[in-house]
Amino acid sequence: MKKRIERFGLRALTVLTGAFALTACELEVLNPGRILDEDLTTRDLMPILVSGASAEFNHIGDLYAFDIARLTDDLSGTGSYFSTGQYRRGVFDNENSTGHWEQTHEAAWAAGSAWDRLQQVLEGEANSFAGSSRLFLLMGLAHRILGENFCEVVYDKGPIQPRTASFDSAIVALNQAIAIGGAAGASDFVTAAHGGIAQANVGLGNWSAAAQAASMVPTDFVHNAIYHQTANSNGVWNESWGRAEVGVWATPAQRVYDGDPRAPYTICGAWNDPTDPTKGVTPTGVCTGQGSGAHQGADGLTAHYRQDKYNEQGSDVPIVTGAEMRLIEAEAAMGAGDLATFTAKVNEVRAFYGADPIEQPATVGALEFPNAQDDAASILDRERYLTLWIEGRRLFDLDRWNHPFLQGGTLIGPGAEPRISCMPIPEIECTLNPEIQNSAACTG
Amino acid sequence: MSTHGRNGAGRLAALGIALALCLGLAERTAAQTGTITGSVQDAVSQAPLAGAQVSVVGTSLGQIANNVGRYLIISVPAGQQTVRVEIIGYGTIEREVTVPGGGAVTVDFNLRQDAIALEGVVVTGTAGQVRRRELGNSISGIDNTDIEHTAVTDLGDVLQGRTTGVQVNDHSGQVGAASQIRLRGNNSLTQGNNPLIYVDGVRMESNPIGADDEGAQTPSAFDMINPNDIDRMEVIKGPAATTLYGTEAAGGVIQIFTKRGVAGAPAWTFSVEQGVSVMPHQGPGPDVNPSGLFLNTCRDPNILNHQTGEIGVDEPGCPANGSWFRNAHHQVYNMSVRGGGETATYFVSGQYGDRQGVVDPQGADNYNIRANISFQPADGLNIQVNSSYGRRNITWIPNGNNASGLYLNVLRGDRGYTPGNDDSLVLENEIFTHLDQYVTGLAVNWAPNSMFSHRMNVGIDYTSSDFIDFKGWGFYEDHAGNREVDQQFDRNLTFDYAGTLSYSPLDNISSSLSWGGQVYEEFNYTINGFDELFAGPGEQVLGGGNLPQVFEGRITVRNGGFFVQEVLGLNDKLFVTGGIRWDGFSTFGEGFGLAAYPKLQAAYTISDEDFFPFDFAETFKLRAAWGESGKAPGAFDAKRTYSATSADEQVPAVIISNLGNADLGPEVSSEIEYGVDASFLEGRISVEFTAYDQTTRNALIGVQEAPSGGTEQATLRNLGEVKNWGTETLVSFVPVRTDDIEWDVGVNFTTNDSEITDLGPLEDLGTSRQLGLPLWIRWDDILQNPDAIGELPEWEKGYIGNLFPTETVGLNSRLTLWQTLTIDVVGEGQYGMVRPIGIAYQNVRRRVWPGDGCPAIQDQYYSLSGSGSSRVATMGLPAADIARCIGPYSDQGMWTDAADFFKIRSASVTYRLPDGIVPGARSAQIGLAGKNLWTRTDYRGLDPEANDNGFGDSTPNEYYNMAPPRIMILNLSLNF
Repeated sequence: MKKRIERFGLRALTVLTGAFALTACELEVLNPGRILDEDLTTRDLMPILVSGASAEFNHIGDLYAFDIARLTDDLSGTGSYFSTGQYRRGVFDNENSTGHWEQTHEAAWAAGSAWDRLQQVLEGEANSFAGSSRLFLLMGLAHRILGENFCEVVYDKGPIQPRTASFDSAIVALNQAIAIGGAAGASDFVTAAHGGIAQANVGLGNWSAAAQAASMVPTDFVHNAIYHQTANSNGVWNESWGRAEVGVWATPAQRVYDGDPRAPYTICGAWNDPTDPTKGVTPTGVCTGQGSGAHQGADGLTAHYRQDKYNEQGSDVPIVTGAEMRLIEAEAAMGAGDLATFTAKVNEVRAFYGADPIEQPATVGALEFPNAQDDAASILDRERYLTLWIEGRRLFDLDRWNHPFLQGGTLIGPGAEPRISCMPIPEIECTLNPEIQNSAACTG
Repeated sequence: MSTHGRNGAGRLAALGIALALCLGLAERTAAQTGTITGSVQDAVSQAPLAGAQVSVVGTSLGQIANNVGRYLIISVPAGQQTVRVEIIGYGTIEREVTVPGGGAVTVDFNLRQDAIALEGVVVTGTAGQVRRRELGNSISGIDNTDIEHTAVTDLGDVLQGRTTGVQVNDHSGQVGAASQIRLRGNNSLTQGNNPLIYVDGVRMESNPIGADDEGAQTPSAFDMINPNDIDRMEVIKGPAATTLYGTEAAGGVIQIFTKRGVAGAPAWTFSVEQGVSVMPHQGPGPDVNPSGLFLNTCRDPNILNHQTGEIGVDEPGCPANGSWFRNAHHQVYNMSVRGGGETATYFVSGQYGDRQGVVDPQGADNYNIRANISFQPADGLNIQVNSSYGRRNITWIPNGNNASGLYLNVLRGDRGYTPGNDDSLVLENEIFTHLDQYVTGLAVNWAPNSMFSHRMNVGIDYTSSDFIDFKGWGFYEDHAGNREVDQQFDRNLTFDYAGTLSYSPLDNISSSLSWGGQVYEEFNYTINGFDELFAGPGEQVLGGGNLPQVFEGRITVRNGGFFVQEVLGLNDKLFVTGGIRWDGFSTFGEGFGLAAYPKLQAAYTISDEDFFPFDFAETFKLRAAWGESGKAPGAFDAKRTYSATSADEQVPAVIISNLGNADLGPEVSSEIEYGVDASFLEGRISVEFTAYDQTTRNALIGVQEAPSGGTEQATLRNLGEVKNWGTETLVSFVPVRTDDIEWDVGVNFTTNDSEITDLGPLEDLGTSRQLGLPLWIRWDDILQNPDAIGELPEWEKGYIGNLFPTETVGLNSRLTLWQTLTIDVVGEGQYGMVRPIGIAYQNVRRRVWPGDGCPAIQDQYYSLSGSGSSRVATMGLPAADIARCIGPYSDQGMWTDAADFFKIRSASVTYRLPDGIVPGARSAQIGLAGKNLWTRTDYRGLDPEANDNGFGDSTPNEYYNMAPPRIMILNLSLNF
């Protein structure tokens, strides 16, 4: 009996050890969910790759809209995020800029990578594929966004370049979008690319080229970063409807341009004593429904004046609009001293939004904060503020105009003097890019 | 004979049998033999020591004490004999007896626990059963006596304060929230630092289970084990000891051994626990905060409202008793039975528990059943089947960093987010976790002869979590409601084989050659569902709303390893162990191959040498160990992968997820530890000291290319290095030992520090991991001009402090009077860490923090007009006051405190009732135990251990989460 048990035990151990050895050889991560590199080689998948590049771009559309709104006078920070308290003072350092830098570069990179794969899979057909045009459009717009918001730029782990390099790169990519889009019959991408070229030329100060490109875009044209209530919700909506991190209280939209249809808002909470914020806030009862219960900011103090421009979780963020094109033409005219054309272009925009026309200003004038609205420069400031409100464009306008708001402009809390007007190259780029580690941007 | 019969001395008995047969000894006649009988019990408590091994020295005769501690050895040669009694955790006793031919002699043994039990065997981290004298590494043990005398509400409690190198922190007062466990601190930058958990040789899930989401806490599988089922626990803390566990074991290993059956008639145990939890005053002192931040008192017309500065507190939604807290009832019922015959024994147990949380409706109930069955079908062969099932239903309250959390809204007064400040509305958010855990294992120990032994464990740990977070239609924050359901299934399969060949090539040299292998497979399956916009109060399940979403994940990873090890012994005094384990892991890169983890140990019981000069030291063992173990990368870290996503208007899309690294391997932690185990004055003083030094090389860190090169995706690479070092000192002494009084005192002191010495091209991995600083720190704004009068605060970012303690002190005292009354106290202090007080910072910003003189400073500031800087100048206060109290200038760095504390973790009084007082009972005892009875700290938040991120997180932050309450438990235990 004992021997039988021993023999049985020995066999059992042998079998189990063998099973162990066999099992141990199958050391693979079993994977029903992840997509591997080699899976992406069929023609049918190419539109999905293009959509992926769009998804990458969409990540930055609302990111800039939200953060630029907090950094500028688009919206006032009324929340409890640490960054909100800092940004509303106009303070933004080389750690804060990490996400913007990385994601914008990735948006451009993703489009370029997808283009590489399209060429491999579609070969010559890639040059007449509408998706290719879209990729270059996305790439060009990403470059434009980088140039508008960063003080200096870097590409491909190279040296520091002036931000104009981004505008140059944008124009190259956007012209490619126009060329392929023309061959593919993708007119919307072509029109958007013209608009992107106009924006990039504004960055370069090439006003005639800007105006010329802008003229290719009709006033009612809109190209958006696209959001969806489940797939990719709009971050500005989340932070103003889902919670009250930002509001319109104390912004130019509320204090100076109140009632303009381009800057709609709803008063969710009313100050008990508008002259004494410490007296608290009473709900107005009009903000009911999806996620909008908050009557005061997430800071627990400030009456919540909720922006209504993005009134759905899936509201899109405009990236290129015909209305902006008219204002580019107006600014070009103003620069040339042609105030009649300036006025006509401004009124074209105002008419598009249902606002009353303006009289032709007497002078170009200068900017003020708050805005006196009594000369062309102030009118242009107002019109761009309202037309591009919460679209992530205000920081570049403040910078290129050296706007007086930058000198400590205050929304609710005190502002730094000066407030930042462009984003610094992030620390991570300094750390990982030997070409720039000793540059003033990294050491200063 | 039970399992213990095959342990350590059991093998000696088997050897004795073989020798006896070889010598040709024949059966003796009855007249030439006699019988030895008696009992074995604990000398202090008089509790029977079931399973103690009683043997007649120099013969093959022996017996295992049965389940009431009785033994009977027949056919003992008449005459003078030596009887030896051994049991793990106790000192070995030998006694001379005269055995009458044809008669019987009764010998009772009273054993004392032995802090330095060199002959005791351990199995964790070893190839087989090993006597402590052979071990070069330290190993800590917790036995069921400790558990019996501890106020236990979850299993983590039993590890607090009793031994060195083990840090267990209670992060929350919510019943069901798991404690965080660290062994020798942290040594991994990115791969987690939770220790591996084994129960009876089967690996359990050691990571958080289920979502933390709105409840801000997570349960753990560890807490699913019924503490009453535990016989003992072994803890090995570093790579020097965990080498044979290979990859994944660098954070240490905790092994739980559950109770076994013992031969004898069924022995039943019934116990009942009734308890209550109460929450002490919360926040700053009652003089400025009589309501306890509106938590302790939310309605009282006669006390100061710290927000308004007026008399009278009446918070909307306040419960009928005028407090958000209740006196929460605990009730736990246990039953177990064990017994069996010579060839099969059993231990069967069950538990039902229902523990209320201090905030209605928080709480948890649980059911546990266990059946451990042992068979010994033949000499040398022991088979155990250990199975348990546990169910836990946890009801959470919404809390933590959660806009619809209870604390966040209550503590902020009317500056929270609830309509009309009715904070009771948040409790309409229903949050549940339902956990099921099934662990079963087959353990086979086979010693076909005196030279060979084999051990095999095959087991499965299956854990499922069903997490529901439901805000019904009409909920104030999301009127159309939403529902989240997260289901997680973890299946851990363990196969473990080890064989040992023991022989003595020379008289004074022993050799033990071991080999073996393990396969571990983890299958993780998750379904995360979400829906919202319900049509009405009817069907509100997933699919009943307008925006259903679902996410599915399935991952299987496998680990296969094998090892060889040789232990050479010289004169049973000096032992040298060398070994190596090779591991393959499914998450390694294709180009990596196998990982090798070597070990080398030496143990020298120098007190056994004739030349050892100190007679007062009966045991003096020197030991040193060096070894390596690892941490594996994640499931797809080595591969280039893309994620499926939706773009635009829900168009399918793929985006880059991970660039991959074909050369990716494990990070490898190497440790050298050395120390001494000594006992003096007949065991009345014992000392264990260990110093260790760990270096984790090839540490896994996510490193991206410069972002301007394209993708922001970081690739995991083996580039980092972390050093981690410290000391562990455990001193036990017995100041009083008489027939009636035994007083045992233990003091343990642990130091631990670390430094990140290499991050590849990086200088930091976020603010909490910085090159040249300890692992897991608080890096935040530091006030530069605290004393500047009338100036705005100036800040500079810097290192504020460690997030984990650098020093830990444990104090244990157990006083036993007349062998019936036991008073046990466990205290623990942790020092050297800081913690951000998120509640103070956020409440200051809202002018609802009553402490630190802030109300007066805020009143002054807000009574002035003009710019902020002009107001501050007018006030003429130090910048520190402004930074602390004035919202626009305050900063979380200003609200990061030293979180040093000393707590009475557990205090208990246990009384063994006189025999016969409970009819039919073999014994009975009644006990009263308290948990968290006293805390000494200067920390200004609710609790210095609070962490709203759950136990898997290493960046603790107190942010509106519930402090652990005080708990009193009355226990009645009956043995039949």
